[in-house]
Amino acid sequence: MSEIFILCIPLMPLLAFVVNGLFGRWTREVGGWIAFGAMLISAVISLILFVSALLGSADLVLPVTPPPLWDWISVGDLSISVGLHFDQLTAVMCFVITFVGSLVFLYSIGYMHGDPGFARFFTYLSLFAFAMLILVLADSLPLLFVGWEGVGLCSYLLIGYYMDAPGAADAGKKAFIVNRVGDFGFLLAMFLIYKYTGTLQISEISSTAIETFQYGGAAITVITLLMFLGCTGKSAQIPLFIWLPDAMAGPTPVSALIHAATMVTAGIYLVVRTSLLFALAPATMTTMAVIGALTAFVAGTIALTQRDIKKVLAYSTVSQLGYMFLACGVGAFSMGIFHVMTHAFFKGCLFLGAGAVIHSIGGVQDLFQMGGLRKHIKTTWLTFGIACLAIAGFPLTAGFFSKDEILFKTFVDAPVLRIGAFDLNVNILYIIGVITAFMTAIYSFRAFFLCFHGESRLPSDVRSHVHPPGATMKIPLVVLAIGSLFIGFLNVPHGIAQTFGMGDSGAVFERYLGVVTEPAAAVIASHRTEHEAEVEVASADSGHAAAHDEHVFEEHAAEAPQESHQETGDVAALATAAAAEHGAENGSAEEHGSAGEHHSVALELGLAGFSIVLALVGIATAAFLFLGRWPDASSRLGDSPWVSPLRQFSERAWWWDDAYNTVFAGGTWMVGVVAVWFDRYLIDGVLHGVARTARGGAAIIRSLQMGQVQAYAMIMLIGANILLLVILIW
Amino acid sequence: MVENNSNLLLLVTLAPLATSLVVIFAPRVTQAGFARVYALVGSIVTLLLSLGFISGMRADPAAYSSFMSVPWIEDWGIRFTLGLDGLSGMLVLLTNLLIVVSILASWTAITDRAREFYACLLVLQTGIIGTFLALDLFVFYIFWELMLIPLYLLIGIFGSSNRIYATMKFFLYTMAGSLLMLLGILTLYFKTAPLLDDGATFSIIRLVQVSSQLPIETQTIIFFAFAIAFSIKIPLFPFHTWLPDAHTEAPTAGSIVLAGVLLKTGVYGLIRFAIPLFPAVAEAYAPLFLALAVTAIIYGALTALVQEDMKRLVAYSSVSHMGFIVLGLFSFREEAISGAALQMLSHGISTGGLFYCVGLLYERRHTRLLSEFGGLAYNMKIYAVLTVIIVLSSVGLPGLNGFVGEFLILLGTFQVAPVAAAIATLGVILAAVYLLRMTQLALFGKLDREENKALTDLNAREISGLAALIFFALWIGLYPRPFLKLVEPTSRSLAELVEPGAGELVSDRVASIPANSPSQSDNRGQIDGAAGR
Repeated sequence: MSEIFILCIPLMPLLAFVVNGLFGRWTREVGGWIAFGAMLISAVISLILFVSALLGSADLVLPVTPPPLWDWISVGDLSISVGLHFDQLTAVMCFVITFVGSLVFLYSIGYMHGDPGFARFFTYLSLFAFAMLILVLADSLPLLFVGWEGVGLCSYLLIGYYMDAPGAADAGKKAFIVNRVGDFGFLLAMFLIYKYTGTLQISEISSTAIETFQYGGAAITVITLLMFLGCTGKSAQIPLFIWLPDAMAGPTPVSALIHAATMVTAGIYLVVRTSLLFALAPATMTTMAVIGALTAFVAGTIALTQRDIKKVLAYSTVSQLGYMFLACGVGAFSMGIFHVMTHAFFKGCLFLGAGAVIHSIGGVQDLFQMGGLRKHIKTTWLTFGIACLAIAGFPLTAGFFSKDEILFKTFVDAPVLRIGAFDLNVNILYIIGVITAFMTAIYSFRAFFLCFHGESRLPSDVRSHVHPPGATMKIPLVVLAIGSLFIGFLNVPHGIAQTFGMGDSGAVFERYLGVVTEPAAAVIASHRTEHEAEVEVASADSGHAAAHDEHVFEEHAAEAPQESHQETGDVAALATAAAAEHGAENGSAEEHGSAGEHHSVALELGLAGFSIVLALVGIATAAFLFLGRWPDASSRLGDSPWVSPLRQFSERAWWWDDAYNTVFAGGTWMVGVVAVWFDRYLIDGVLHGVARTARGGAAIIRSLQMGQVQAYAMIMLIGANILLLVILIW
Repeated sequence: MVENNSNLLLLVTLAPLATSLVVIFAPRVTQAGFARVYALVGSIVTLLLSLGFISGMRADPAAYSSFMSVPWIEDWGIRFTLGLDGLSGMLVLLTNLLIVVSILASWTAITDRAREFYACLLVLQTGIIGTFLALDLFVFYIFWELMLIPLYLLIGIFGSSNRIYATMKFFLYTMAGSLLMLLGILTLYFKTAPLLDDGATFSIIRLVQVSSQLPIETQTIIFFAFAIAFSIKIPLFPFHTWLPDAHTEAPTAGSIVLAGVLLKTGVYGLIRFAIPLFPAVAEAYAPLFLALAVTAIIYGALTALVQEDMKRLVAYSSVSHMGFIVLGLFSFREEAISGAALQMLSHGISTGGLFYCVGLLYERRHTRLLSEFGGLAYNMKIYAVLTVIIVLSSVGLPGLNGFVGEFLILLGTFQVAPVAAAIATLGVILAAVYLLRMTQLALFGKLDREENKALTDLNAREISGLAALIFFALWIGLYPRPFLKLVEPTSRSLAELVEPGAGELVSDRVASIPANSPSQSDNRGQIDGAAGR
């Protein structure tokens, strides 16, 4: 039964796409309601499935794998069918996509009202939803790639939706091409996986991975690095993040759904879906954590100074995506997904709120032309404020729970940088994460204060008629704001749960998703203990162990009964042993690598408290600089000789774009020009030379011409005979 | 050999020729006259007739389900032998489809000397069909040359301003190839004569059985005589420079047929003749062809990137895309060869479609310069939608036709030549760059030119031609199985033919050749091992 429901989830938006695509000319405004209705049905199904999965309902045995729909590509040993796979991870993603999706659809009915391309807009949007659902439901990498490219296509089409807007078409093209660079990695990863495992079915890859690949081996490292390259494209990470800010040229609901809540999280989804492969490649994990942290930081610094409200949110999205990869990189896969979910709510709310603002003041996007809007659009002000609190990590909001847990896991599990000179281990990733959290609070409240508070700086013609959003736009804002407040309680960290008398009811989400991430967690855990044992031996030998190392080892030693296996060094044995031990100890599906319970509750609470303080200080800083009570505080700071160069650096987005344009776009074009020259003057030049020589030769031959057909025939005959003779003799 | 369906075979081959006779004597009533109607009806009849092959092809794609062989010049052992298996059947169907589309595309574009135009097109069709069906090298050569003349006339008479240069270039290039091939065929004929107990023959079926007994030097020379002729036709870098000129000057129909099927005759020649005759040589020189293919992919893409003339752009994209096909072929992996065969079909649809799209604009504006357009999506909505779909199919978007072939080619090639495949995959990025650039400059942006504001959207005839292509693009993209089944025996036998062992016979004689030819045994073992687990 559930199989049919699962099929319905992607089918509904597909139907809406077909209806609007073929009959858009006639459906017009109704088309929006058709698309929304279809999406709502998918959302209800997804919600039911997600909740029953979360509660562990007996009616729903996961994973559900409906029989393959049809045989897609099969040649020789290769066989790829169109099949779906629905497990805990898929359930979350489907829920996020369809739930936020239907809210955005509803919102768009109001937002796009009167637009000449209304039907086209909903056609694209429905196609996007379909492709995104295929992406998360696919049971094989090539089918996942269909969704992956499909969402990229819709993104391309929707970014360029306002065809005559300056730069819109360029931005769409840029997004598509930059994503293709990532796809290059994804494709090569698939080819390599096929080479080693002989299959592209995700479940089969996972089941053979431990036997096929050596832990930390070159093959798996290359494969995962290439996959991660694909993820940096889709999920806008360094070095491929440059397309996302430009993508803001699309209509704001698109930015909310595609470029914040769903599509850009596909990279994190892919990593978690193939988490076992990543777990086998520690070098890739470290790379991912570092890239994630760096991206979070870089994008955070850029978000601080952007004038365009949507650009602030875009860079903020890049930054938050960085957190998600940081989580994955330190092995906290389920926290990456949890942040995907909470982020979908608060960032969706922020974007839709920004859309409501832009809509109400006739298209102004410059924060410095806003101000004082609180009085005019109260609902938007309130929901935007709540979402800002959530993203800043205000206690008990969604962002607090998800981001804080990521920082905690980073603190505990991130690889440390050892500074030999001072005999010091520095967890640099945690430090970057914390600084970024601080900046997050500043930039989000900077936008909030500049937009809604202080004196109105609106152009006078706009000021007189600010029109508040209608019901179709308000309802999604309110729902998302409520989500931003409460959805975090799905995963109250253990420490906090215990402290506040919730017993073992914490970390619900982590345990729920643990089923999916467990094999990866087991591999990581077994190798972590192995590594620490080695460290211990080394320390004992040399006799001057760093205090930190010893401390950590002691903590872990107690829970490492599989020491005997370590000597064998056999990956498979270790992983199995770890999994077995894990099952025996907990009896439930809890992520193992995080070693959650073993770290002291005090540490967890301490870090949480630190984060709260940071968030509050950040908000206060933003208030000091931008609330208007000290009107020139921000400009005085910005113009001061120490800060001014930094500000420019931030405003120009670290010159990434300029560098890329010069090097890659310009470079490719140059090579193209050279190739054309080569074609015209070298290859054709040789050809023309030959032709000229032939013409010279022809002049000599011309003297032999007698103008008699018989003579020609005779010569031809002789020639042919000579040819034959040559062939026969040779 | 059992002769079955031979009447149909002959009928399909000669129907276009017969139609061309009707067309040339069509009454001249209106400007375009009845010629176009006759031509369209004739081509549709041919298409429908060729559908009769499908059941036989599907039942056993490996066998020549339709076959005929009658003595022709018995003294020289020449028999008029035609045969249709899965691969050739698929290509004949593609040919007949694209001819219908190209007649639709010429409907109003060609009004001057319409009878001659359509007659040429139909003679060309017979030439192409015959080339795909011939199983006797002599017959093959006749049809091969038969293709040349009508296309020469199509470009030379009905082309645009610089057509004389283009035709000369095209003619000289292909004639050079043809002559080489003729020499090759004759050499093969005489050299194999002593090996055959039933007398010298041009029959490819017999020749394949004995050709490997020839001395390796002879094999190499004949192989290259064939391979160069076919490489010019494909065209493979560096023999490609005739293509952009020919395409740019050709009328729309000429471009559609040229890109859609004519180029495939080169690949087909490699698959049907050159490689099966001399598998050892093909394997030994595979690295050379892989290198040229990769060069073609990247080089074609880069040159396409900076073109201002849309037809030149699409022509260079063809060079790039044909490179993928050669790449897949010379990897000698089953997946890749199947992908290459499927890509022959796919490329015909996508690139044929692209030339159609450009032709539609050219007919309206008489220019192909990108700078002359922009914002067409505003007043040519249907055109914009269909063009974007065709562009995406050419870019290789999954779900449409281009992806399946490219994916299989790259996946297969990667198993034996990872570096070549990796570089070729870069071509996938570049394809998006140059095609989206074209789309953007033509369709998006501001509709700021007065001439463009007056342009009309497509009519039903124009839509139907593109819709037919899009239908196949979706079909191949979503459910390529029927097509893959058709080419499976060919690709499997080719992959097995060039398996290690076949090459050992000659390995010592071709020691001078770089030894890093793809070593399939290792990878095969690995895959099998993995699958076994």
